[in-house]
Amino acid sequence: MTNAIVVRNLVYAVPEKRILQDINLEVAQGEILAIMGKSGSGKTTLLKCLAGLIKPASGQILLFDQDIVPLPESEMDEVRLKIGLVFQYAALFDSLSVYDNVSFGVVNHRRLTHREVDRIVAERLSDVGMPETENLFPSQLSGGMQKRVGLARALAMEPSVLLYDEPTSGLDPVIAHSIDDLIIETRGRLGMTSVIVSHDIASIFRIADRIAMVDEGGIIASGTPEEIRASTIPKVREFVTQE
Amino acid sequence: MGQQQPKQPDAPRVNPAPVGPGLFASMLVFLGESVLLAARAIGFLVRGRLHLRNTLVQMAAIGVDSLPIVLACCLSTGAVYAFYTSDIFVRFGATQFVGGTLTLSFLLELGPVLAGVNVASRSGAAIAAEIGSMVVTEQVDALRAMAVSPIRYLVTPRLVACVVMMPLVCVFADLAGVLGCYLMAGTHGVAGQVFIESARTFASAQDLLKGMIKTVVFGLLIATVACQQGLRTKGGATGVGRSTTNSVVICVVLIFVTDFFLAQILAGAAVTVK
Repeated sequence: MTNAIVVRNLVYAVPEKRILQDINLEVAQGEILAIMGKSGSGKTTLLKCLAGLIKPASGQILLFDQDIVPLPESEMDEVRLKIGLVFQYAALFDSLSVYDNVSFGVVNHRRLTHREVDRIVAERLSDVGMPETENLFPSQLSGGMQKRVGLARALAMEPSVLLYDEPTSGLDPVIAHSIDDLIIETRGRLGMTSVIVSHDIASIFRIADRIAMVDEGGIIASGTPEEIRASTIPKVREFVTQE
Repeated sequence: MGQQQPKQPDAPRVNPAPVGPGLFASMLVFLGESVLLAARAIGFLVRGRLHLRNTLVQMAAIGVDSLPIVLACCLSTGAVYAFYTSDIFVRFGATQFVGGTLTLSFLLELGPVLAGVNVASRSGAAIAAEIGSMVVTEQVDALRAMAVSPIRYLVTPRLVACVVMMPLVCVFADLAGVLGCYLMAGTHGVAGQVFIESARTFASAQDLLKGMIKTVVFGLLIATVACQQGLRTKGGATGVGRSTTNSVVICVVLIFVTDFFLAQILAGAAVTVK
């Protein structure tokens, strides 16, 4: 199976400290990789590096064999069209309606008729269990609903790679479970590669093909859910036994 | 050997305000970022990649929404200015100069500057706060993640709106100011006809144009500074508050400083034309 994402010797640093050090990672096409770790361990920073939102100090990020690290912002936009990012706190545009949020990407990058845009928005909202909410504004939605609209917005562009930052945090168990199902179903239907950053151990073990654990900016373990469950590394055990 | 001073307990550490080279460096960073931001925003405009819907929304917000404040401010400033000035002119029997002096002052100086300060305080602050909030809630990152340039989507429309609407706001500021002067001068013994004749004699359309040219520059400054401050917001609500305050302070200072140089340049241009 070919790799959608390959990360080699990735280092990300701010003036005071190194956030990520020597990260090596491979994600096969269509695979669901979960990255787990404590708060502040560098998971979200890694995700933002993968999305090309921040530039690492050194190392390579190969997205479909193209190194995105040296790309200028103008060329990064081409790459970003292949990537969807679901933000931890949804990051919906609060001045726009749910419809405008979900259609934002397709309206800006594809030439579609109004009817086609309407169909895409309705389908994606239905996928995330929020049909007929097009006219609402983010301020009228709960945190969980905003998160689902954020997911619908990312799905609308049908990206090849979908990056999720804590997709189920703050959601009730029923909705969290439905989001898990949606991630699996999306992979089955569109063959998307998914990288999920999460604390939610139960969710990770339910949906991930492989799991990597980040601690103090480095990957200390990676493998299938069974391998991670059987890990003897104390920090991994401590994390996994919370399930 | 002198006795050693007992060691004082550690005082709370406070980040010192930037002074000397630190302040100079931050000013250079600000200048560099602002020039680059304006250049990139204008670049999108030149390439015809203006987000029209956002621009119209911003034009309404910057122009129409600022108007009541500008009108109230200029009307009262005009009245107060006339209140102090008319007395002196009347006392020295120079009533025929009142209208001209006050109108000229408003067209060349007070109208543009008051319009600039008002727009900077109302719309500039709103721009910095809105973009700052978008930064801290990751909405700007979301734009970039969806391959939409925040400069094209956020900065260029605001810059165009400010530059286009400022001269129009200035015309209304001039009208309100001169009306305030006219009304107050009337209560101090300057007849309406005399005021208008004097204004016609001393002020010209060229003076109105000079004031409007000033506001084009002010508009560019306000939009650039407000967007730059908004985009470099760090932290949460405190960061947004800091960006908003900085935006207003920097804009107001820059308006006054730029006004000085523009006055010299425009006066020089007028002499050359003559």
